[in-house]
Amino acid sequence: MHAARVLASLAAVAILEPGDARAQKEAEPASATDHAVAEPPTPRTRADDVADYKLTAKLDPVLHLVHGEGTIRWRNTSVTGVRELWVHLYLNAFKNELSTFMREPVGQFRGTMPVREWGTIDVQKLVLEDAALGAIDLWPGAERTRAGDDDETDARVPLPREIAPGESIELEVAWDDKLPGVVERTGFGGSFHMVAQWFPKIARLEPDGRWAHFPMHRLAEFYADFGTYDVTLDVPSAFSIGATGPVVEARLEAGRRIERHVQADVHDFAWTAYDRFDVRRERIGDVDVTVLFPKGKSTDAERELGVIRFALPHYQALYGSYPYRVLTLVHPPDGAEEAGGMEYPTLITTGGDWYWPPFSRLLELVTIHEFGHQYFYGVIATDEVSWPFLDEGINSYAEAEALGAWLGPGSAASAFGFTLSDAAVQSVFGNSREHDEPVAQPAFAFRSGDDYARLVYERTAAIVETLRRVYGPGATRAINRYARRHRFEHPVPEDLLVSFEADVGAPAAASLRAALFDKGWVDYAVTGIASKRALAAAGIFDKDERRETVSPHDPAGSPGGTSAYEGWVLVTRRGTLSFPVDIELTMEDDSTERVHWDGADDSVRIPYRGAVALRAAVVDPDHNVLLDDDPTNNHASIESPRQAPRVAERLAYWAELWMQALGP
Amino acid sequence: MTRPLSEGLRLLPNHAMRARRCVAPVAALWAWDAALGAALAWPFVSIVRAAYGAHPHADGVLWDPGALPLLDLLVRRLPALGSLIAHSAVVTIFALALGLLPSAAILVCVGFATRDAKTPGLRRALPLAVAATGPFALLLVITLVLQGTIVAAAATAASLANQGVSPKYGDIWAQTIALVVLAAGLLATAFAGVVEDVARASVVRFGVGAGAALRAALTTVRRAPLTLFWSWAWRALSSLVPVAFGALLAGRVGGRGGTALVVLGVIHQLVIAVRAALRASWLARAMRAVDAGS
Repeated sequence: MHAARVLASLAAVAILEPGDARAQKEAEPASATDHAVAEPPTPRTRADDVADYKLTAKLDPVLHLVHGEGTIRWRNTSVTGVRELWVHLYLNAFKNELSTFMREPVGQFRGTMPVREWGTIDVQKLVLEDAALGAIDLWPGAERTRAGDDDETDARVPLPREIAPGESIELEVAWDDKLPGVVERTGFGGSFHMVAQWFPKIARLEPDGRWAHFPMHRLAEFYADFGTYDVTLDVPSAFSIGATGPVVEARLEAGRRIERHVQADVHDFAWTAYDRFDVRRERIGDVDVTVLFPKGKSTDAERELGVIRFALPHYQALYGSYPYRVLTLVHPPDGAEEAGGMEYPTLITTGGDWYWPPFSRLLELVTIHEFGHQYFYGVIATDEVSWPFLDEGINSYAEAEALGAWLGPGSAASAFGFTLSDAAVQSVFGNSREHDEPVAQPAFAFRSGDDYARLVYERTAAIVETLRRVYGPGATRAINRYARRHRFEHPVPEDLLVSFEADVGAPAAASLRAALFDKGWVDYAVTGIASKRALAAAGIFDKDERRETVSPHDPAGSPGGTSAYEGWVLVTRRGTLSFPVDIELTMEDDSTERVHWDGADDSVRIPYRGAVALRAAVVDPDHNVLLDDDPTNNHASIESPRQAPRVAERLAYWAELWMQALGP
Repeated sequence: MTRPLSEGLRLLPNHAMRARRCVAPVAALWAWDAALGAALAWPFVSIVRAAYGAHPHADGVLWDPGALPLLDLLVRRLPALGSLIAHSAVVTIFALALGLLPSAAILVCVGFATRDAKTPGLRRALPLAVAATGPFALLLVITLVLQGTIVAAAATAASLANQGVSPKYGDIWAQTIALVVLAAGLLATAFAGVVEDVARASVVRFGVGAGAALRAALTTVRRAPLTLFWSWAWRALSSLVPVAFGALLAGRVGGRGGTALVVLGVIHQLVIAVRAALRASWLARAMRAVDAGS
């Protein structure tokens, strides 16, 4: 009994004493002062209306059909006349196994389930209402496939006359959708319907007159002109609707629910209908937030709402105001999980189950990531197909930054004394593919879905986070400047680089360019370390008209003096990137000293002279360079490697528990 | 049934069949667990030592906030993960096979005494324990097959229940029912484990083979199934309490070394010892149940 009490006292002392003297602190997230940057001179407050859609859609939830019709008003904003339109019919990605989507051998990532039920979009008419020529149905003359390619998602529609720069046209359109079983993004699961990429959509015309048209790819799909979407949805009255934009009219009529949603300054429209949605609404700031979730998942809905309570003001402070009045979160039910984790203007889809443990932040991560797309995709409308890193990558950086600011170092998970940050996950998985392919390339050029995920999402985020940790608030300002300057625009990679050059400087911009475009990489290593008693130079010396012989063992300074020991540390930088780093020297008495190195050369030898012998050295002790290829060579010590007592204790204990659980 | 006691041992009266008589075998069981734990952990510890042994904070760096070094080590520095898992699997199978012996030794110690009423020493207990390992092994295989079948059936039933209930009553009901079905399956596997332990006690008590022991065990369990199951369950549940305490403590200690680590190590080993004692206590209860029906 006495022994047990002593043990308990020891435990209390040992456990309640403060932690190691060194500050165990992850890099701080962007602070409030980082946010305080001047607005660029002319941030847009509205988008330039290029493509306006006034549509109606009627859902048959039993046969999973949508009939749509309406008007598209499109304006030629390029500098040249146009003789054709390109129209995206992305639901045909699920028509058969010859579509680009189905044929792309990317594997992994998402959307790899077999299609249980095929989906199609069939255009019935596309009538040009022309003052001079009258009404002409363009669809019979449309080129729906290319020679040697059976993909039917990217149609070319010749025009009967040239549309001059600045001129607008109006098209009457009617079509029928057969929704696929949810494979990825869109379709139905039971009576749940996620209706995205569902209408004939005009591709974006670049200012130089080049059409940015693409078939529906497996890994990327978004790029379009801004406009106003005025869409009336007609579903059975038992169904609830969630859609892009606020409801401006709603009525029940002959057993049907009819809702009209209108939203300006967006470049897409998606909606959902389900007869088992529960609804949770809350006004956060100036935004009406709605969570639509399957019955019984109110815990998830609360967690998702909690994310938005934090994210909305945080993103507004960092990247500019959220320009819409509404935000709808859709939590797909079981069996339709692949509809989750997607972004559409003012509508995002999430995921997760009520039994997901609270120590894992996956649900929060998915929600904040998709919300972030309201900026990086939504308002800053980059070309996802050509430069996926500009939306998924920058958005992943924003996600990790926000989660870090909100949850600290346990932003991905936190349990049993361990904290796992989202930034660490991005660093490790992003670095695992750094030599394989460039980050900055079109989505369809990636060799695998795994490469795409690692490089576009994680490596991009780790690159930007490294710049933020190394260069400080300048990098935050650069992203801030980029986000505000290109609000309601379609920026390209050069715009991002220009922002970094302006706010962080040319070396940072050069590193960013190399890391994105040239598979830039870096590995810091402590490749040598030495320490010994400082000895006077031996030999015969003539001093003060006297000849003096100094033996090789004479100390240079007095014992305990400030120069009693000398040594050096050799730090090597491998790879094509360079960042300034700190090098921490640890002495025999556990005191430390930091030396800053600009990292410009391939290596640096740091001399040491002090009262205590040098024991070890660590380069980048705060893990600022998340791109460091191998953190296990960032340190070296004079003595031979020590044991790993903490790991030995924990692992042996867990193994014992494991054996007891299994053991007979 | 009585077993011939040619080993110079005598059967204890039922009330005297207690685990507390067997401190040495329980300590041996703890030592066995500790040795196996060390064998399983050793290759992983070697890798950590190679990676971070030269760091001024040694493996404490793996507890850095954010866990970048830990994640990097797990994801990118374990190229031989396959062989490490193979090593673990071999040690586990080895332990499963040899672990029959300490269990048998505890049962011998619980049920028998020397002619001068002392706890049988290793020399006397070992022949009986060794003789029991053959039937024990057969019982283990039968039980594993049965438990595997139960788990597979429960998983299938849970999946079917989930799919059947979801469209009408929603996800949460469907998943709750699926979890209940799974839990029922797990309870059934636990019950199979209880029967196996009672059968082991029969092997040692009566000196019979696996078949006869299983029949005796079923007879014993049938007499008071709930009482016996509860006898196992409360010990099993109680053994989770020190585990939870150990986890809480480990969380508080984090990556600290020195005294905190030593204390944590001692407490963790106490947890293992307590669990071994609870296991021995249950085996003694099984022995009493078998003996009472003889």
